[in-house]
Amino acid sequence: MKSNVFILLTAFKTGHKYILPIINGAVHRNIQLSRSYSQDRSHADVTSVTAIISDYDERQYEENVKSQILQKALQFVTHSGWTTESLTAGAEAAGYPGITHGLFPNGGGDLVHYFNVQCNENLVDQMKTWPKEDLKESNVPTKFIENSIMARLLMIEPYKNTWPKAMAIQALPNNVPNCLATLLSLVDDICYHSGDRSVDFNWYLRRVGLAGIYKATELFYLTDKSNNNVSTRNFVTSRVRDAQLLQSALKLNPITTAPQTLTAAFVTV
Amino acid sequence: MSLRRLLCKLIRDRSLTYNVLKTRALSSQSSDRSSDSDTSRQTHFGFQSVNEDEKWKKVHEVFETVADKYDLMNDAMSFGIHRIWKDIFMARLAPTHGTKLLDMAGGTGDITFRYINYLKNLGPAPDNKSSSVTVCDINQAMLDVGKVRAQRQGFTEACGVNVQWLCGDAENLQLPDESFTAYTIAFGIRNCTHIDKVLEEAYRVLTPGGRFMCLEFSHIPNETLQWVYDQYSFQVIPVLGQLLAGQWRPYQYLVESIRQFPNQEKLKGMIENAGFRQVTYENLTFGTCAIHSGFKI
Ligand SMILES: C[S@@+](CC[C@H](N)C(=O)[O-])C[C@H]1O[C@@H](n2cnc3c(N)ncnc32)[C@H](O)[C@@H]1O
Repeated sequence: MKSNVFILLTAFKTGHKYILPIINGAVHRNIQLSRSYSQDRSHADVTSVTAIISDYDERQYEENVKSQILQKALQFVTHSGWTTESLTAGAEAAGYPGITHGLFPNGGGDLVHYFNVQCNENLVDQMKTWPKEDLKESNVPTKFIENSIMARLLMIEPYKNTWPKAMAIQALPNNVPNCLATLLSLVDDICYHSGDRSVDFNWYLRRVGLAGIYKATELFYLTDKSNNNVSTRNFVTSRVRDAQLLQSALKLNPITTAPQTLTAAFVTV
Repeated sequence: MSLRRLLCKLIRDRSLTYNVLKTRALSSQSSDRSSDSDTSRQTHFGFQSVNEDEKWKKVHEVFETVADKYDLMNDAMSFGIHRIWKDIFMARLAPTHGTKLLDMAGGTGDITFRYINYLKNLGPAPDNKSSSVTVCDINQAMLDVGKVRAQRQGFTEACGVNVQWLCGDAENLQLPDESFTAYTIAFGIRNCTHIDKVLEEAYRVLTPGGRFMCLEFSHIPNETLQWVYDQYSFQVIPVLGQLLAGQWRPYQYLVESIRQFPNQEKLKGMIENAGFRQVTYENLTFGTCAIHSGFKI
């Protein structure tokens, strides 16, 4: 039941359509559960509920300790990189012994992941305050998307020197799932806050396309030496325009071209 | 699988201690003081007195033989894998400069030596961070084996880690609260009568953020493999024990006690009950062995 609730929450948060069938099942079971619960308030039920709650508190507490250490560790990244060394220093800065770094079995991977999640949340907070674009003919909020990509990229700025390493770490097999998840939630958030409420095929296309654009831009940005990253901005603008063209082309006959485009998009991710 | 384990048992049964004492008596007849009963065991093997040079040498020889046999039996029974398990164990702990380790049931120093090596490989420690390790074992004779080996293998003061040897019971430690940042127990927790007490004490002596790690034989989650392993352990190990160490029953006991020890999930629950958080375990070699880890946070 707990996991169902969890899936439900994630589903609400991200709006992933593919979770829908699971949600249906979950909701069903939940209803049944709560029904039997309200009819028969046996002791066992009550204790199991409190157990779940305290279990949740426990996890929350552990997560807090971890975030505290990770947050501190970030300030050592420019010096020691995305490494266990930074985590050790972070643990010490948070008042724990260095050995507490063992809380992060993925070492640098856990630190990169934390940073990505932080940045995504940060971006969401920013985007909430941005004005919605007036959608006319085009149906695609280009400016909003460009701005969000740029805003997100610039969060890497303080760590630009070490970021190629971070990208390499994310590509390690055991970090790939986390990395993909944060990337998808990033593009989800961007689409959502830009006002995209599409439920048709474009839903997938936009996200996958956007993820590709983000990753490509990230690479471009790392080698961008131009003032104020003008080149990167131009790069984003033309990528978004390309995608827009692609999309309008697809509208003519989405079914036939869709699979190829999807594969292509995935390859670029 | 571990002769060490067996030896502990033996030593605790005193049978081996008697043997050792006998040998020692034989080999050190020149010095009368060494052939007393085992009431003097604890002080007997200390190395403090200066005029006991000769005795030290004898003791040294005797225990070195025992220690060698240890490794032989350990290697023979686990195909040398116990070394790899211990290496992995240390890699998971990944100590940092400034760590204060309590190596519980550390008898012969296997874990401690790996710890010192690990720290050495990290490069020189910053001035403000000195590391230490306290090797604690209920059996003074085991500690003496460890001391001799430390001497032999060059783990001296010069390696920058402060090493203390302490005779004490894991279930009731004479150590202050919050005095260590890491606690390891390798192939030792199964010897203890009250695992919960051991865990309680471990929790007590660790500082906040401190890590508990345990390496122990465990249960193979796959039935077929477990069957194969059982055949090996029940049929082969006692034979090996008979052949190499001249003992059958203790090895029989060894394999039986492995089966009786709580499985991975159960032990995990016990560690959590002691107050540790973020408790995880990792199976080694299909689960013949498991590393449990928990934090005092
Ligand atoms: C198999 S040996 C392990 C030695 C070493 N840790 C290794 O892995 O090679 C087990 C050790 O546990 C010790 N031991 C048994 N019961 C104990 C207790 N209650 N407290 C402390 N040590 C104990 C024994 O004396 C013995 O040295």
